[in-house]
Amino acid sequence: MIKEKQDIITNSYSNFSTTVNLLQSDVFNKIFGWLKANTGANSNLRTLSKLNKELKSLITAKMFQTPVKGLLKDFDQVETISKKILESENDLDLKDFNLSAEKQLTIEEISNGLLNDAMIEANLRAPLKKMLYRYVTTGMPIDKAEAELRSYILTDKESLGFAERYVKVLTMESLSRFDGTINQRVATDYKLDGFRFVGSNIKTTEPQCLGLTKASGEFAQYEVNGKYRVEDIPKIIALMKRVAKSTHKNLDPSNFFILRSHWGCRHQILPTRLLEKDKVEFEGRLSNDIEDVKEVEVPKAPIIKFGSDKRFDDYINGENVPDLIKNVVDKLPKPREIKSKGKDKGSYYSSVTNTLVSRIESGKDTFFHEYGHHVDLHMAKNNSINETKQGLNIRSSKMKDDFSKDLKNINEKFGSDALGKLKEFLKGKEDYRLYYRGFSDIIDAMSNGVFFDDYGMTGHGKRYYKKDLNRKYYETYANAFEAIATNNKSVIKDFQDNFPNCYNFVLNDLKSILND
Amino acid sequence: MINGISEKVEREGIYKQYFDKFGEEPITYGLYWNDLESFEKLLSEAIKTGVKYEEEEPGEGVVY
Repeated sequence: MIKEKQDIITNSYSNFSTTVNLLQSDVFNKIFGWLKANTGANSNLRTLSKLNKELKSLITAKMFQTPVKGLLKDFDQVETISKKILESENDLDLKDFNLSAEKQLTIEEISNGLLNDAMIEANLRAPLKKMLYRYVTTGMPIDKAEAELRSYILTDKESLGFAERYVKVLTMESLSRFDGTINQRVATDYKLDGFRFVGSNIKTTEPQCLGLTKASGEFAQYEVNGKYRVEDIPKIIALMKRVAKSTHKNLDPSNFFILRSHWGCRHQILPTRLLEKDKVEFEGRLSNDIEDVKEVEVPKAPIIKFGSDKRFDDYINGENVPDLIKNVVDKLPKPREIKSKGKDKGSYYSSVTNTLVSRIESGKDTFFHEYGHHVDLHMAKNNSINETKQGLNIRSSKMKDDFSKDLKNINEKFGSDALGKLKEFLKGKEDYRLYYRGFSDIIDAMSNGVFFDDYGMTGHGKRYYKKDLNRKYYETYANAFEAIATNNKSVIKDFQDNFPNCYNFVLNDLKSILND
Repeated sequence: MINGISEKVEREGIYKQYFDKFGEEPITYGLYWNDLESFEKLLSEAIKTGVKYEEEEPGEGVVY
């Protein structure tokens, strides 16, 4: 239905095409005839003045009267479809939702544009006059002037003629604004708290529209499940204005749905009601407002030396590693031994021997993952083995609620075959086996190893999780620590979008370690 | 537990070759969870030599 409505709006100017094309031909013939007759004349400003008078009698408001009546049918159609879309989107009954005042005002607006002589003078006659005076004063060769006039006045395969352009933008903008007025009133009257920014994009789509339709760039921070919050509209407008100068200067929350983005914008802003899960995700986002971990207020990080392979020092002192991580590593006791090879070939952390093994081939991400284990398990460490086990259980039980919340949200978000869809989601990421190992590993933990064993995705597998029920929390902690330490913005955003509670748990845990 | 389909997803590549050769999955506790390329090389070697791939269980206090 959105596409159907878009087509009505886009094609609305076709009501005028016969009239406008006739007008364009008449204007071209008259002007070109005059130019041919006057080529080479020394003083032809007087004859030009005569031509201007003829143009005035040719391009009149009256000629648009009949087509404007045809356009009124489009208003009725847009109203019907808009209501249907809003009814199905929000489970509303809009049968008695009266829009006659809004319709009348918009029709007046379009009438002012098309049936008002001053507007016609400014938009249609004045540009032509300017061209003609230029030909007369510069003595432009007739063939060059003809080509320029033909291209400007007439519609051809490449572009619309001067009058058709004006009429098209005006009719489309009027219908779009009428449609936007319906959306604005429904949003206000029914107190809808969300909206979707919809419509197709083309090569020339403005950057702010691209950002909002795709939820990309800085706009991503305001989007959840394809929806934005009404309460964020002031911030979104400020961002739109910052991103593109084409954004309406007068755009504000009171006319956001009406004006949309810029003059001639073909996108629609559909008001919608946020679901509980949307609100939970927005709240998670809100509490997780620290988009850039580097901005967490912590002391300036010292240079850290582990006294082992230099590469480990290079990893931790890396410029991109947040000071929060560096300070935590500096504050806590370091592993007794950090090395590249252990008795097994893989990478691991042993809390019994307090040894961290990180293979060279696995890179710095794995080092941070294992260091995350060290931090997590160190915080549970106590005087005796039993007390340490108790500490591990306490830490796991603290994370359990956040883990369950994220798991529940993921099931709601991805549906009955969440694992299949998550596999597709990860495979759509560039270098997912490299940068999304931690993400995939959390999904594996949430599925008790099914994601690795049965779906062939990165993870520890069923045997690992069967042995110790706390391991899913240990791995989730290590993966979130790794994401924070490696500080890859896209990965962090995906963590915040999908595991906001677990991510926050680890972030807050690290901050509390520093503050203790 | 996260939603997933109950049937086994069709095995692919080296994992299928391993299963076809030995009639069972490699025994792993995720030692190479973050380095699947190395893990897959080891599976390939196992297929060549005919010796099953098997990891020891991680010891007390060991996490991968």
